[in-house]
Amino acid sequence: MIFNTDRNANGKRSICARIVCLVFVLAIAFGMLAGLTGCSSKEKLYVFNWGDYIDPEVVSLFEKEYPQYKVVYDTFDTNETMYQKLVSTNISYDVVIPSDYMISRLIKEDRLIKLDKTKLTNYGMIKDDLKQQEFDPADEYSVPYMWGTLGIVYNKKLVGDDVIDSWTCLWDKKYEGCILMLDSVRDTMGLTLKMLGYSMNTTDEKQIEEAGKKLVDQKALVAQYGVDDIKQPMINGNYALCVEYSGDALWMMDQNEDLEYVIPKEGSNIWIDSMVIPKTSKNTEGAYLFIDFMCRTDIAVKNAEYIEYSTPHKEALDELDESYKDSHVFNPSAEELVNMEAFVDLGETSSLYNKAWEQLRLSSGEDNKKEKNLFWIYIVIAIVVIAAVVFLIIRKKQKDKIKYDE
Amino acid sequence: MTKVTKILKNIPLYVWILVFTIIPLLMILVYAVFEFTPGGVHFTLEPLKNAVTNKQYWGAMLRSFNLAVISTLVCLVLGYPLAYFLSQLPEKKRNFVTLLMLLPMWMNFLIRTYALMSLIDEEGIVNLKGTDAAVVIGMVYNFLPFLVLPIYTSMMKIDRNLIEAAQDLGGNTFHVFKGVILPLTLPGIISGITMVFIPCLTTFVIPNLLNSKTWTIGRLIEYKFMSETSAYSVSSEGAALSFILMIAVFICMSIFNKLDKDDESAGGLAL
Repeated sequence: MIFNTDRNANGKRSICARIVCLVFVLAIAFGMLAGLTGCSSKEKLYVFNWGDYIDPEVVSLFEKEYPQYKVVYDTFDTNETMYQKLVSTNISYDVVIPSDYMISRLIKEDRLIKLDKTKLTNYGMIKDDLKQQEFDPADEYSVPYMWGTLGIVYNKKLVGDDVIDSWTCLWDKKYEGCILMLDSVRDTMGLTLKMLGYSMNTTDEKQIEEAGKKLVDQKALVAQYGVDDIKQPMINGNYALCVEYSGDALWMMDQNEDLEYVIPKEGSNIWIDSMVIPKTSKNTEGAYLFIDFMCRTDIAVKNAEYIEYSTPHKEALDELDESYKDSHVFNPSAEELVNMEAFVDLGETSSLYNKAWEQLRLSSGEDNKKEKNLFWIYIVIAIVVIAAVVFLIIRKKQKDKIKYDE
Repeated sequence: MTKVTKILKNIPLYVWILVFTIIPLLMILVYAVFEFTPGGVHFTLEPLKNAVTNKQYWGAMLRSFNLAVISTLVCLVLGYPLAYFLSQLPEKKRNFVTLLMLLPMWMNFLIRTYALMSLIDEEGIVNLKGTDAAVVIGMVYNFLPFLVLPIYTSMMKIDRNLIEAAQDLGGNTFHVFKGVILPLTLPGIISGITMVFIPCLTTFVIPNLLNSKTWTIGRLIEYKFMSETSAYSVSSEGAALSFILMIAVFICMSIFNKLDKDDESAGGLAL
């Protein structure tokens, strides 16, 4: 009986539910049909880029100009997540825009196709001093998209008449407690290696150790190691020197007029995010068209204005606002770029860098005196704790004794 | 038959403990002593040896331990009187004040720590940026309620008659406190210390936000896992360090438990 009534109740309710279901199923079916017909006429082009790293209008402009393609745009936030997704998913990306060292890793692992330059009519527009970088020495695999440098942001008011033009300024005792460093192994180790006259990509154990020791010496002078959290204190004018990327430096200088950016004379890191085509690509023709489209002057201008990073495009640079062109941060001169070096993938050697970094971050710096004072406090605390435990044990034994006596 | 049903009833508990406690702990041990390579798996004591023989790691461990001890002591000094006054309030007020104490805990601790950061940096009231004092303040601020609540609960359980009896027998305030209140709240103190000390020892977010210059043991382990984890295996040295830290935590816990048991017998005698 109970079973029956239940079924009746269900039956009544299900009339309504069935109609709703039917509507949904029909809607989905129509949707899929529409999608399928859309697909059959348009070939898909999978683009994989950093988040917020393109003028959104550019994608629709490309689709308007090449109506045979439908762009599927996907984003990542670190090179490593990009790599994981690229090698593990079923999606065959056609254009990917990773950074220099990741490109060298992808080349090493034979995951990229050699580009046919005859299909890239706008390739000549790319600045020559950004070509032939160590990660792709013959420019066979990659086309630069955006680039920047690493340097020192300094506060003109706090530095006074001092000339900041070298990494050694970061080791100047005068600036104790007024230095902000990057919390990033490759950048911070790299600038130290550069200061010592070595390559940023060195695999020599002794050189890496020497750089590590140099950083330990510096630690007492450093106020903080950070990434995004060092920008605001620097803008507020509390610190004299800060290591930063050019793109962020430009933004910081907009906020505080006293700030200035310099690429130290020993040379520094130049980073280049470049467009590549993975071997898994199923739409190589579309990929070539897309890369060439991105290298067109009007499109490059659009992207540079939107992202505000340095563009590698010669003509786009001319068409940009004067303030960009004249800024030595956005558009450094050839002399400033003489000793620049891009990162390459370190492979197994990265463990040596990590080791040196770990030693730096675990060391207590030079404040040995302070440490010793604290050390005595700790010993006193330890003695108190031990005494308390011993006291409790003795008391317990005494109480046990009283119990037995009773 | 009753035994079987008892076991059956407890199955969800066993499954829970197995899946969320035993298996993860075993996995840490496995990653610490086995090396996973594309070629295969083999046994090695190298990571454990490296972790134990590295002086700097012991330095980091000692530093975390010291920070945890100091934070716990500060919590105790602040929290015990607070719990006492809380228990002395009339019921309505007491509930209201307890609510006020719990209110900040409903906010995420990251937000609270960020708020604290802006109070003690260059632009704040005092500039403690990059000092261990900032870390201690951060930990005390975050963990204080965990110490106050158990002590408060044990204070609420004290029979008023006991205090009155002590007073009738001529005990002054100090005698009443030492002879009645302190022994009866010791279990609360110990469970409060456990709930503050262990999180202080292992936290890495709070020290990292307030003084990221020098790493604590928690931050070191995080770095190891972030930088050395490959497609084949997690960082074996990171796992070894976690394992050592876990043993340290177990030792601390067993000491606290021992004290707790001692006290129950002491409390029994007092009664």
